[in-house]
Amino acid sequence: MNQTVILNSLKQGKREALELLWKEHSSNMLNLAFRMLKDRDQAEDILMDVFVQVPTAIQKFRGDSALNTWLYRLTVNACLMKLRESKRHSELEDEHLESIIEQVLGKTSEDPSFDTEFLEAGLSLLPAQTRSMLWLKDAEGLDLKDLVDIYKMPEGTIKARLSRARHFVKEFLKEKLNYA
Amino acid sequence: MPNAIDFSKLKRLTPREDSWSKVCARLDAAEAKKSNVIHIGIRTAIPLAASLAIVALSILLTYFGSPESNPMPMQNLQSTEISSWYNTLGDTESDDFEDMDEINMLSYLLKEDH
Repeated sequence: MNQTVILNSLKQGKREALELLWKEHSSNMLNLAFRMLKDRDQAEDILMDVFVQVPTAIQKFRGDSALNTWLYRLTVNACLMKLRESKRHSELEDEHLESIIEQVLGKTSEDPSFDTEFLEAGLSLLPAQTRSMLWLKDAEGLDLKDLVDIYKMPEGTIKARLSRARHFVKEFLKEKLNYA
Repeated sequence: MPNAIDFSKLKRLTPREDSWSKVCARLDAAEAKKSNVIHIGIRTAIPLAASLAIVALSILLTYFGSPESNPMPMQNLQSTEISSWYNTLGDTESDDFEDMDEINMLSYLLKEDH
């Protein structure tokens, strides 16, 4: 079923179309929410909340972007709202990231060998939005254009954030593996 | 992408088995709530409209149908004799009741003579 057909069915309020969307995208959305919230239960809750919103929100969706991009945007926004509500958003700010990297980790040259535990830890130190950006780009393989659409930011800003985030995670891994 | 971080080793989550049914339950609850609101809205709108109509009618009657706005002439309510009696009341020192008694007395005496 193509996007137009699904979109029309969703706008008519058909539950089958929503179920189709669930089967196709819920897993990716759950992983994105989990990366942002760092909590499985909250991620599941956000996923369900987003899908409950879909029948209403789809009425305003004009089909300019792909459905999965739109769903990611809803998920990111719902997660950010959740983080604001729970006041758990006291994470590293983007503007402090570079100075922290320089002060604590110094410069690096080669890729460290990845360890999933350290990778999780390094990823969790990033701000929630940047973390989700990095996840969508490197784990889900979204294009920069999709990220522009999701985060409503200029491409240059997203590129810079991704670059700094990658650098931070790699430096973190290198340091941990050196001390391990 | 050569610079990309390899997340492939990280555990990927899948939604719990009952999550979809929970979504359906939430959607059903939201729809039921919405229809209830509409139903309650209709149920309250009818008596509200009726109350407003009554209030409007009473206001209209007050302004266009009240006795002050269309006073009824005194003459219509009372006979001319009574009104003239009321009008002359207090004009003289003695009222007509005394005369009335005298007339009654005379008529009584006349009856006795018969």
